[in-house]
Amino acid sequence: MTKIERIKAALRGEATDRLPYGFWTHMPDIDHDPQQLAEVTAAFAQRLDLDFVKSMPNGFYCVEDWGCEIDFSEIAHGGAGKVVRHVVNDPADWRKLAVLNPAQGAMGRELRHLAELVRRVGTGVPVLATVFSPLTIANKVSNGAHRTHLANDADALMAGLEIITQVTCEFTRAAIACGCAGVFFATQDATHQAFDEATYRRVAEPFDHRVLHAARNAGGWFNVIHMHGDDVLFDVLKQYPVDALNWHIGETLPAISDYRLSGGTLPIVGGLQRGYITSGDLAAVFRDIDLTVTQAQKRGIILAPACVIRHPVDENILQSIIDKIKAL
Amino acid sequence: MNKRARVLAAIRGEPVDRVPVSFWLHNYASENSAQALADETVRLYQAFDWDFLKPQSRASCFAEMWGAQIESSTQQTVKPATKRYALREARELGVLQAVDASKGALAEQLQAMLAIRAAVGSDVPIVATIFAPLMTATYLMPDGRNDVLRLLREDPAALERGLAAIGATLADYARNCIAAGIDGIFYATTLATEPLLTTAECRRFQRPHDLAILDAVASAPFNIMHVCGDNTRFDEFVDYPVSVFSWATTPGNPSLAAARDLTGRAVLGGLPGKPQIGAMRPEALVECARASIAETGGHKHLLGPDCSINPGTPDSLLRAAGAAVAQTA
Repeated sequence: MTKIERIKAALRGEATDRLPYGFWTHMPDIDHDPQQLAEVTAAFAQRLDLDFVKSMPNGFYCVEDWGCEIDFSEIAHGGAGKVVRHVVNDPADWRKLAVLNPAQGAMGRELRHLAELVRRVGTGVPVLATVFSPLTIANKVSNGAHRTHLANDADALMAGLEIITQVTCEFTRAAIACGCAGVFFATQDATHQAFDEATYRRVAEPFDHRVLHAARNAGGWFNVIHMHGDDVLFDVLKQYPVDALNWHIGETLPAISDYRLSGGTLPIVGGLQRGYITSGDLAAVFRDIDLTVTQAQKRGIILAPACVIRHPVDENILQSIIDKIKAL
Repeated sequence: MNKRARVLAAIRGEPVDRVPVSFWLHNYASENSAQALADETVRLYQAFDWDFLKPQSRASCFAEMWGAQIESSTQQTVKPATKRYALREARELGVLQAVDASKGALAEQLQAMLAIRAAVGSDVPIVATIFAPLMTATYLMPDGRNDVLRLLREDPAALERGLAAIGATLADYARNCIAAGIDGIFYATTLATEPLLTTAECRRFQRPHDLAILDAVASAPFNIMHVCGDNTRFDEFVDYPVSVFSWATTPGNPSLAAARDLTGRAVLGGLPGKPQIGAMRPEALVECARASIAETGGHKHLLGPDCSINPGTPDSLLRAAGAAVAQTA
C-alpha cells in the first residue's frame, strides 16, 4: 500500500497492510523561516517514514497579523513565545479586528511554508495544515478576556468571532489549495472547565463548522479535530464534520473502547501518550500501542501522539516506536 | 420572551419559550409601491402575529435596477407580466455595470421595510430578501434560466463579469439595509441544484459572488441562506457565513436535524411551501409542524415553509400553524 492508500483505507475503517502512523514536534528555532521549516519537517518525515505530516507552524501565526506582539526571546533559552500585547482588551475591540488577507503577514508566511512542505514531501504523503478554532484564536488575542466579554457583551464577542472565522476560512481554503490533504483543527477551549456544553455550542460550534466545511469544500479529505486538554467536550466535538478524531487518549476520557461501544465510528488519530515518548519510557509507549490496537481492533486507527511531542525529541525513541508499529 | 429574544435565542441554540414561526407569500396586487408592500406586511403581522417578517418584495425589483419593467398586477394571485427586459440577450451580461443601490426599486424596498419597522416596532426582526447574482441574472432576459446556463458554458468569463456587477450592487443594497436597522438578509438562490449546476460551476458562479454579499453583512445577527429546490447542492453552502439555513426538506435534500447538525447553525423550515401547502387541511399542517418540532426537539429551529407559500393561502391554514406552535410551549 502507498501511504495515501494506507491513510485512506484507515479513514474508511478498512484493513491496512500495517498500521499508519505520524509524529510531530515543535521546531521553535526555525519556525519563522518557511523554507527551513519545510526542509527540516520534510527530512524528519522522510527519516521516520511517516505516513502523514502534520505541519508545525509557530503557534502564534494565527494572531500576529491582528497586531498581537509576541516576545520570542525565551526560545533561545528553551522557553516558549509569549504574547506581550493583546489586541482585544475591551469588548469594543472585537469589532475593530481587521478582515485580514491571509496571503500576507504571518499567515502568508505559514502558507508559503505549507506550499514548500507539500512540494518537498511530494504528492505521496498527506500534509495536514494546522488551523486553530476561532474561539481558540479569540482566547489568544484577548488573553482570555473573551470569557468575561461573553458575559458582559456577547454580541461584541460574536462579531469578533465572525471576523476571525472569515479569515480562518480563507486561510484554510488557501492551505488546501497549496496541496494540503486537510486540516489539523486545534481547539484548546473545548473543555468543561472553560465552557459548559450549551455555551460552547453557541459560541464555538457554528464557527468551527464553517472552518471545517471550508476545508472539506476546498477538497480537504483528511480533516482531523484535535481536542486539546483534559475533560474535553467530547460529545460536542465527536459530531464535528471531520474525517478523524484526535484527543488526549489515556490522559482523559473516553477510552477508545468506550467511544466505539457508544456507537462512535469515526477513525482515530492518536493513542500514544506523549509524556511517555518524552521520558523515553518505551515499555509504557508499547503498552499504549497494544491497548490502542486491541481496543480499535486494528481498524480506523492512525497511531500518533495525543498532542505535540515536547521539543527536543529523541528520534531514536521514535524509531524504536516505529519499529514496534511496523512489526505489529 | 419577546419576538426578538425568541428568534435570537433560537438562532443561538438557547432555550426558547416556543419555536418562533413565520410565513412569507406574495400578494401581487400589494407589492407595487413601498407603502403597499408595507401595508400588506403589517396586515399579515397584525393578523397572524408572526415572530419575524420577511416582506415579500416583488421578484423583479432587482432586475428593475438594470431597466426591467413590469406591468403591475392588480390581483392578489396573478403574477405581473414583464413589459421590458433589461437585456436582449445573455451576452450583454459581459458589459453590465454596477448601479447605485440607494436608488430605484431597491430604495423602494428599503423604504417599505423602514415603514414596516415603524409600524411593528423594534421587537420584530425583519429580513430583507436578496436574490443571488446568478438568480438575479435569470430575471434580466426573456429566456432567463436557459440563457444564463448557456452563457455559463459558452462564455463563462462574460457571465462572471456580469455577476460581479450585479453582486457589487446587491452588496451595497445589503449594507444599506443593515445600516438602516434591518436585522439580516434572506439570501436566495434557485439554481444550485443537481440538474442545473455541477459542483464546479457552483463553486465558480455561486460561491464567490454569494460570499461577497454575505461577508458584507456578516455582522448582522439574522442572515438566512435559502437554497431553493429539490436535489440541491446543499453541501456547497454549509460553510457560508449565515446564522440560519432555509431549504425544502424534499427529495435529495437533508432533513432539518441533519442539516442543523451538519452546519452547526439554526434551521428554518418544517412546513411545505407552494404549491403543496395551498391544498392542505389545517390539521395536516398542524401535524407537519408538530412532527418537525419533534424531529429537532425545538433546538435551533425556526418554523416556516420550505419556500414562499401560495398567494391567497387561506387564513385558517396560517392560524393553524401558529396555534400548533403555541401548543408546543
